[in-house]
Amino acid sequence: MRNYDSIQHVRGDSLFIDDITPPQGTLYGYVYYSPIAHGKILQLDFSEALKSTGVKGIFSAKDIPGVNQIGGIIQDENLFAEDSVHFVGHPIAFIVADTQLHAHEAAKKIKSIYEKLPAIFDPRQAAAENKLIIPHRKFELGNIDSAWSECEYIIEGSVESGGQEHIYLETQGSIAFPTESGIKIISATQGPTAVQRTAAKILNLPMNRIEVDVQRLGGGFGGKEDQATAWACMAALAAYKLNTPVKLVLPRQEDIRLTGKRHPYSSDYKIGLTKDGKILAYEVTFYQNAGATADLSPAILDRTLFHCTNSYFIPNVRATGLSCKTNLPPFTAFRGFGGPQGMFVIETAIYKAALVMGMEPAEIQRKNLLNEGDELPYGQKTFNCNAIRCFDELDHKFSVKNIFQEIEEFNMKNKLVKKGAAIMPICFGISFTTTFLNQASALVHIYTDGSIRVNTAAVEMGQGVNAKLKRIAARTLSVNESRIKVDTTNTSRISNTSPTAASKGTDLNGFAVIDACNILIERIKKVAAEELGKDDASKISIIDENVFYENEPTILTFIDLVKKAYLKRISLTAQAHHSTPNIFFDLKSNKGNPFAYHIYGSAIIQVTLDCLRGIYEFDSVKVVHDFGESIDQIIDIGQMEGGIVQGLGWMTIEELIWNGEGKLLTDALSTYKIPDIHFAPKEIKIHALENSPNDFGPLRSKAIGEPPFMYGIGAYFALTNAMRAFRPNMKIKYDAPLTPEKILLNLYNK
Amino acid sequence: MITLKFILNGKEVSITTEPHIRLLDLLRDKFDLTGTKEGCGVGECGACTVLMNGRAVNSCLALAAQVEGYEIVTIEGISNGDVLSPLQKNFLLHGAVQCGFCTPGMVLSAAALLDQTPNPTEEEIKDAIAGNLCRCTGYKQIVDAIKETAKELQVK
Amino acid sequence: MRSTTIEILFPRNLSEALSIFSDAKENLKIIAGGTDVVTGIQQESKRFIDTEVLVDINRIPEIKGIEVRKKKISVGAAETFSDILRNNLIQNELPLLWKACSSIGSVQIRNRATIAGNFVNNAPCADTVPVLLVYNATVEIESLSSKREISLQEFLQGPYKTQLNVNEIVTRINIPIPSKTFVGDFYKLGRRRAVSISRITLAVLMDMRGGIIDEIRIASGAVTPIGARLTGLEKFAEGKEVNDRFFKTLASKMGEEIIKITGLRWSSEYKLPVVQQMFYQLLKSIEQRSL
Repeated sequence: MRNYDSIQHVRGDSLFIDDITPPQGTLYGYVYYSPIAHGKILQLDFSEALKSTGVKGIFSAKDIPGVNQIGGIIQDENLFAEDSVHFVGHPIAFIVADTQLHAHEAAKKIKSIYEKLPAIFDPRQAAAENKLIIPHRKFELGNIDSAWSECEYIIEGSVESGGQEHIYLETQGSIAFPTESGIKIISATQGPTAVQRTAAKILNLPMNRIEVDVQRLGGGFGGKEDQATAWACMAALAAYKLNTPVKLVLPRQEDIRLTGKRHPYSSDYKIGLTKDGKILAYEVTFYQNAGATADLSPAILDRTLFHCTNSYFIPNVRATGLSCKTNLPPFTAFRGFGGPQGMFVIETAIYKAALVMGMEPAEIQRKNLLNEGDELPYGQKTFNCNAIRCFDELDHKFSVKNIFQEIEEFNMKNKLVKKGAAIMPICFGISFTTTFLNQASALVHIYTDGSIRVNTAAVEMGQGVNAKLKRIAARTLSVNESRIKVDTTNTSRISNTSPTAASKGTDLNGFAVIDACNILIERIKKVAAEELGKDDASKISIIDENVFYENEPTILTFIDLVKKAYLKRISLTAQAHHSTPNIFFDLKSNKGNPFAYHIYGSAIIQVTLDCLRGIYEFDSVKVVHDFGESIDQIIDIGQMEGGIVQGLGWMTIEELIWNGEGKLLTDALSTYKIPDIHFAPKEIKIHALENSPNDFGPLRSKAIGEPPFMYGIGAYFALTNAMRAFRPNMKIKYDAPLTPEKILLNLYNK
Repeated sequence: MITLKFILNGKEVSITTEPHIRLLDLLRDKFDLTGTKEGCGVGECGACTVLMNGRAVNSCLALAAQVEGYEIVTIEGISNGDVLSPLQKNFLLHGAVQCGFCTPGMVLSAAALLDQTPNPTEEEIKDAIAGNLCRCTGYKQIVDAIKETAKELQVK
Repeated sequence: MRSTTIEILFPRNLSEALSIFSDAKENLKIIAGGTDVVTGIQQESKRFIDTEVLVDINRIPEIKGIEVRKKKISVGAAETFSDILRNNLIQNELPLLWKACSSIGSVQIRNRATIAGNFVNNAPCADTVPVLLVYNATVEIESLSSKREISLQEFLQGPYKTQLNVNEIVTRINIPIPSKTFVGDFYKLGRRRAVSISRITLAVLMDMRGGIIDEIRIASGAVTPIGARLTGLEKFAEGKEVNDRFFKTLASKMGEEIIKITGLRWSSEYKLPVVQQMFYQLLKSIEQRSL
C-alpha cells in the first residue's frame, strides 16, 4: 500500500524536528550537565558564560516560574538539579544563544565546583542500602513454600541482562514558540500530553495555554515516551522567558549520555520441576537498576513481574521486584518495557534445568506451555490461548526436529565452527498495565469536498500507525483511502492523550476512529434515507462510496451525501472516545484482569559461531506468530523483522559500559554497536498463524509493536548451545549481552 | 568566507560560505535541502550520505570547501520532479521505509551501487549499505527492494 | 564544531603544497579524506583546537595514482581505499593489501579515506600497517628542501608518533612486487563488520620451498603498541619444516614474543590465546591455499 508519509520519506521531503525552518530570531539551546555521578553543587558561576558571544540567557532551577518537577508516576525528578546532582548527565542549566555553536561554547565557560559524594551503580548494593524507588512488588500464585517438597529437581541461579540504548536515528529535539497567551511546542515525543502537562507545571500555566504538536518521530522505541519531556520543557522555559522561539536538538553523543536506556537487571531464581520436566514452582527476585529517579520504573518493574513466567503455566510462583535507585541516568521505556528482562530469566531457568536434568530445553518448554483457561500469576486466565498451537506449528512449518538434527551432524564434522539453535516462545500481554492509560480519542472531519482529516492521540514513529488508522477509517466509512489524511498529533485537537506505547497505538486509537466514523455514517445514512424518501435509514449501506438501499444501488454517492448533509446543517465532524473494557488490576493484591488479550508466538533462532574468533552469524530466524487479522501485512512484517533484529542486538552486540565513576564509556556509535546489515539474520521466515481473528482489536487485528523483540532472546541460548558444542564442560554464565569478547572468554578461560 | 561553485543535483550553483562548515550543514542550512540527515556526526550511521562525483560519501565528514567543482547529488536529486525513481518505488512497495530517517542515505547508497554495479550480488548489496544504519526495519526489506530494482533495471 | 574560521588551502601540485608546508606553523594540518580531521574538529579534539589552516591534498596529482615504478608498486599517498580496491595491480599483486583495505569502514568511508591517512598518525588501529610491513613497504617523504625514502617500520616510531617533520608530507608508498612464490593472508578481528576500529590485525607472508619455510614475514597491529614485524619469530621460523606441529609451536612462540613486547598489557584477558589461535589458523589457511 502506498502510504503518503512513506512517499515523502523516499523523496527526503518529510520534516523532522531539525528539518523545520525555524522562524527568524530563533535561538538555540545547549544543555549543561553534571560531570559527576553524585555530589553537592557548591558553586555554579554563569558570569563568564553569560558574556560569551551570542548568549541570550542561561536558565537553571531558580528560573522556573512553576515547579521544578518533571516526574510522572512519582514526583521525584527535577528538570534542573538544585543543590545536588545524582548522575553523570544530570541537567543543571540550559544555555540559549543565537547559534548552537555559541551555546555550546558558552557552556564550556560555566564554572562549577562540586563536593563528590559516594555513588552507587549496582542495583544489589542499592537494595542492600534500602535505596529503592518504591516498596518492593510481589506477585504470587498458589503456595510456593509447600510446593518445593514435590519437586524432584530444584535448580537455582543468577542472571544478568544489560541495558540497551535506543539509538533512534533521529535524536531528541524540540522547538518551542511563544504564542499570545502561552507556548506552542513541537516536540519529538511519544507522549504529547505528558509534555503539555509538564510544561504547564514548569511554567505555572494552565494546560489550556500549552499546545504540543507532533508530526512524526525518527524512531521512538520507548525512548521518547517520557524522556522527550525534559528537552521540550527546557525549550519552552527559554521561549517563555525570552519571548522568542527556541530550538533544542541533542547531538548524538549528548543524547546517548543524557538519556535513559533499557533497565539492566540482576536476578536470582529458583525453579522446581518433577522428573518429567513439569515446572511446579518458580521463585524469582529481580533487582531492577532504575537509575536516579523513578521515570517509568515502577510500571516497567510490574511488567517484568507480569511476564516472569513467559508462555508457561506454573502453579506456584513468587516473583519479587525491587526497583533500585542508583546514580545513573534514569532508565526508561524500551520495547518490551521490562517484559524481556523477566522472560530472559525464566528461559535461563528452564535452560539450566534442562542441562541438569539431561533433557532438551524445548521438551521442558513444550511440557509447560499455557493452555486455554490457565491462570497467570496475576490472576488473569488465558483466553484464545495459542501458545501450544504456535509452538507445534513451528515444528510443522519449519521442521524444528530436522534443524536440531542437522546442527548436531554439522557440529560433529566441524571443529572450529559450531552451530546452535534455540526455541523462544512468547506470551505478551496487551494493554497498559496502568489501567487508566487505556483510553484514546479520535476527531474526524469530513470536508465538503469529500476529503477527510483524521486526528487521534497516536504518534507516528515508523510503526505505521498512521497508515493503519487511515485504512481503518477508509474501511469503516467504505471510502477510498486517498480521501483520508491523518493529521499531526496535537493536544489542542485531542485532549489528555496516553503516550503511544505499550503497542497500543493502533488498538486504542483505531477503535476511537471506528466509533467516530460510525457516528458519521449514521448521520449520512439518515441524509440518504431522506433524499430517497425512505423512513428506515438502517436499510441504507455505503459500499466503496456508493449508496445502496436494501442492497440495491441508488444514484447517490458518498460525496453527494456529504454535500447534502452540509446543506441540511448536519455536522460532518465526529469525536469519539475509546477505553478498553473489562480490564482492571488491584495494586495491593496484585490480581486482576490487566490485559485485553495476549499475543502468542514461537520462534527458532539458528546461529553459526566461529569458535576461533568469537564472532557469530545468525543463519535464520523462523517464527510462527499470531498476528490476528493483519490490517497491513507489509507493515506488520516490517515490525516483526525490525523487532527481531533489535532483540538479537540486545542479547549480543549491544553492550553499555560505564566506568567506576558512572560515566558512560560507550557513548558513540563507534563504541556502542547496533545491528547493521551484516549482523541481520541471513533469513527471517515468518508464518502468520491462520484463523486467529482477534475480537479485541480493531478490524480483528492484534498489536504488533513489542512482541517481536522478545524472539531475540532465543539468540542467547542458541549461542550458548554452539559454545557448548565446542567446549562441553564450559562453565556457563547467564550474562547478556553475549558479545564476541565474552564468548571468547567463555570458550578459552581456564 | 569563500565563494563555492559546484554542481548540485544537476544544476550549477554558486554560494558564499564559511569554508570549514561541513558539507552536511552547507546542504541543510544554506541550500535548505533537509533530506540529508544528521544521525551521529561521526561517519558511523550513514544518514548523511550524499553522492560526490557518483560515489557515496558521508557529508558529515566533508568540508564545504572540498566540493569545489564536484558533482553532488542529494536525495532531492533522485526523483525526477514528481516521478519517483525505480529504487524509490521499490523501497515503498517492499516496506523498506518505516520512520524514514535513514531512508535518504539508504537510497543514495543503493543508487550509487546500482550505477556502478548494475547486477550486484547479495553480498555486494550488503556491502553497499553496510555503512547505513537502520533501527526500524531489520534491513531485509531494504535488501529486497534493491534486489528487485536491480532486476527491473536489468530487464530494461 | 567551532566558530573561529579555518582557512582551507587547495594546492594544485606538490611544489605548491610543499611551499605551504615550509612556511608552516603548528596551526596547520593536512586534510585528505577528512574522516579523521573532521571528526576531530567536531569533537573538539586537542589535536585540532588551535588549527587555523587546513591543507587539502586531494587534488595533488603527484600523490595520486597507482603505477609500477622501478619494480615497485607505487601508491599515491592520497589514493582512497576505494581507488585501491578498484585497481587490478593491487588485486593481483598485493592481495593482502586489497583485503586490508576492503575491511576498512564502509563504502562511504572508503570513498574518502586515504591510505596515508590511515597510518600517518600511527594510531594503534591502523588496519593497513601490518600488511604494509610484511610487504616491506617504504614511504617517500618530501619537503621543499628534501626528499627521502625510508621503510615504513622506521617511519613508525611509537604510538601516535612518526618520523614526519612539520614541513614534510608523505607522497607515496612503495611496495616491492613480491615474488609469485609468496602466499599470505590478513586477518582483522573487529567489533562489527562495517565501520569498526580494529582490535586485532595479523598479516603473514610466507615463501615455502619444498615444504620448508624459506622466508616468512609476520606483522601484527592493534595488539602490540605499534604495528611491528615480529622479527624474532620470523628468524625462528626460517628453515623450519611446514607442518601442523610446527605451526602450533610457532603460534605459542608468538605469544611469548607479544608478551615480551607488550609486557602483557591487554585490554582483555582473551586476546593472547585468541591471537595465537588466529595466527595458527592463518598459517593453516595459507598452507592450504599453497597446496
